[in-house]
Amino acid sequence: MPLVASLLCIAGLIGAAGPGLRQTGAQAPPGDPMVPDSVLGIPAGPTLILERTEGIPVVGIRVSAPLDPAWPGAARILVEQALNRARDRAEVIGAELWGGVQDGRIAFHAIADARYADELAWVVRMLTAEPEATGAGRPIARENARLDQLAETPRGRLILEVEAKILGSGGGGALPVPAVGDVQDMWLRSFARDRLRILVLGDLPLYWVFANLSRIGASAEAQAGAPILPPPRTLSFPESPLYSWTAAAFTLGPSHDPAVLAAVAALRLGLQQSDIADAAVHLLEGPDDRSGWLGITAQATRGRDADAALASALALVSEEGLDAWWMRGVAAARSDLVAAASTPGGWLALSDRYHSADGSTNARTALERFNTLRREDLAAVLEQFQATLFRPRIDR
Amino acid sequence: MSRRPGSVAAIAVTAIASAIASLQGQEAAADPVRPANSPLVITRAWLPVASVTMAFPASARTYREDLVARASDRALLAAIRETTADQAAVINHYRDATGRYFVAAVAPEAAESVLRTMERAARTPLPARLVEGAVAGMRADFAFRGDLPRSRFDRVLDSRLRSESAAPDGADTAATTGFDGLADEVAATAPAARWGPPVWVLVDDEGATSAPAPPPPPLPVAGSAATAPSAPMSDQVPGDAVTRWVGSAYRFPAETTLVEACFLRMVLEESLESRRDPDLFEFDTEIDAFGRLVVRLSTSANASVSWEARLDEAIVQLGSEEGRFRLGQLLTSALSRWSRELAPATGAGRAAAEALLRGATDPQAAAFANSTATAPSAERLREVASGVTLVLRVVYGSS
Repeated sequence: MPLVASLLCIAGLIGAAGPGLRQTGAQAPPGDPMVPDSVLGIPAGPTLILERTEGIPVVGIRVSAPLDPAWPGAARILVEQALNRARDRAEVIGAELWGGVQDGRIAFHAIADARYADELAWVVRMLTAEPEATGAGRPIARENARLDQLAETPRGRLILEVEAKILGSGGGGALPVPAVGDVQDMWLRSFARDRLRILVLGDLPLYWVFANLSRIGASAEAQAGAPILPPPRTLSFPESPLYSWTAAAFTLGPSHDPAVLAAVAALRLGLQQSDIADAAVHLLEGPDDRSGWLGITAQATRGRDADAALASALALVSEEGLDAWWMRGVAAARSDLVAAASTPGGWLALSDRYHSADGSTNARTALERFNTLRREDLAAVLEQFQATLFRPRIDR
Repeated sequence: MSRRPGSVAAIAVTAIASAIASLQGQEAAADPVRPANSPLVITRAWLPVASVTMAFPASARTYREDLVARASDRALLAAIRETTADQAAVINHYRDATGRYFVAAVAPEAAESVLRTMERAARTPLPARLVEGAVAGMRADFAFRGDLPRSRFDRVLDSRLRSESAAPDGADTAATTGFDGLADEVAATAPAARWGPPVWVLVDDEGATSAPAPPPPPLPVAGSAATAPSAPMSDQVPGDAVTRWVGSAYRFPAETTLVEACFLRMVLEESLESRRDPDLFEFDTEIDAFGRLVVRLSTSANASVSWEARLDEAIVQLGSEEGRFRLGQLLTSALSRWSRELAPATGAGRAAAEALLRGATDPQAAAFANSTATAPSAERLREVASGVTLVLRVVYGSS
């Protein structure tokens, strides 16, 4: 096949990032699995992040694309269609298949025994193919049902408020439901070939990666226009008959930042351990869109108890309030990162999360950042809090 | 990356099975005489995360011993989590029919420290407050689910599997009994004193390597096939549920290795999954401490077909000439599952610990944890399947 042959030629030139290919970022220090072996950019093509690990019995491939627009609903439909398309093929080779929105990107991974690398590449090509019009009805219906379900409960309404804020679709939890065309447009924008990241974990030669994965996604000729959001859906919000609810939402900074992760873990610990009388207080983590939005709900039989409980919870989000939990939060967030890196899928996700175009960050730098976090780092994280705090009405 | 401190490396010993020599960078080190409490070390140069596994044998004698083990494990897990709270480590607990495993996913530089912490916790009598918390948690758990049909069925089947006779060993008593004096009994003795020294496995990213050695002899799944009864023991226990529970135990033929047994188990699961219909609610499979294949399944009491008959038929088909093509298809899927299970340090550690609990030597345990490259052929699995015999069947619920 001429295409494959030309890719093989390109691969042959790769020794020192040959003509047309650029080596981005720094080469990994030898032997550190937390740093990719090489990061390569193909002109008008994807960024390839390679973790070539001699001897690993599996091969894992992750493809991620920016969320454009920041519309989790459309991304959910796109992901569901993709998983439906690829599932049968994946089952034949016993591949683990996953798709979702993570760290502000639409991402898929497929992991199987190393002997089935060729079949796995086929699965990945199916995952990243353009969504069809047929088969979209069920995921769209599910998204409608999801909005209805969220509107049923005060906690769900807070999630709607946060999603609407991120999407910029207006207050009151007003969210649009995507149509088939919206999902296809999102694919054209997000899966444009030069916006994709492809992460490969396995004992595979470079020419294999080029031959199998460099042409996935939407080509440069297929352009989508600027995103136009349809009008939001009208939702009915039943009143909460027994309890009073209050809520607040805020962000402490980008959700992948180790200091923010530590602060969130500290806040979670603080809320668990604090004795707030006559009310139930819960922490909600917002959509996984990298914005780091958090919500707190307080529920009580009397309105003033709910208000007091929320005030107590928000008082925790301060240097004095989190002081007792900060170092335990750092340890918990660092342990979470280690636990995530212990599986091939989590390892790929971390490489994706901490990838930067200039190579200055990676999973290793994130782990080291946890090791160097100090008490005084808490103040910088909390600066975001007051600037972003808002209190939507969810008790209706 | 920081280096692993020297003391574990010092006790980590160096021998390697050539069965895994083809897996470059995945080498196990084992001394002919490894000191007690020192870990079997398996090295995989590409791992971003290490694992420490401590495992005790499954409590296989009585219902009371099982209760003690559950309470002790809960308290021990809490103790380890408390003392490693400031480490880059996540500790999880698993139990299966072979053992009880405490598995830490840990940053490589913290592996030795976590190992020592776990070791200390296992050697020390458990703090009374943690034991009381564990027993209280179990009481609440049993009050909530102890009388559910699934729990009753599990107790009955486990009792039969322990005794290999129709006589129950106390497990048929009400779920909420058996707690008298439990906390005192658990707190009185350190876990390592009660069950003997646990087995230890450290899966790390660096360590000593050596020249390939001859492959170890295969690890048999069980050596007692000759004692299998000629007719299967069958037991019907009345139940009041609308769900019918069936537990079946099969014995593998002599000479079956642990790897072959694991693959046959996975292939059987794939086969059952492909035959699933709305009448089959759930099923799970395991290989117990005696080397038997145990299958639990639940179906609608009004199912139009007998799922235990389908189960027997599925095994027969896997061992038949006609099932050869299907077996090859199912083996493909099982291979990926096995590789995904053993690729993480935690999975490899748990697999090696399971093999050690079954009496494997260090090279055999390391070979088992690295067995993705030495998977049995479809032909060999067909031979094994054709020799599998039913030894026990318990039906709980309507017949």
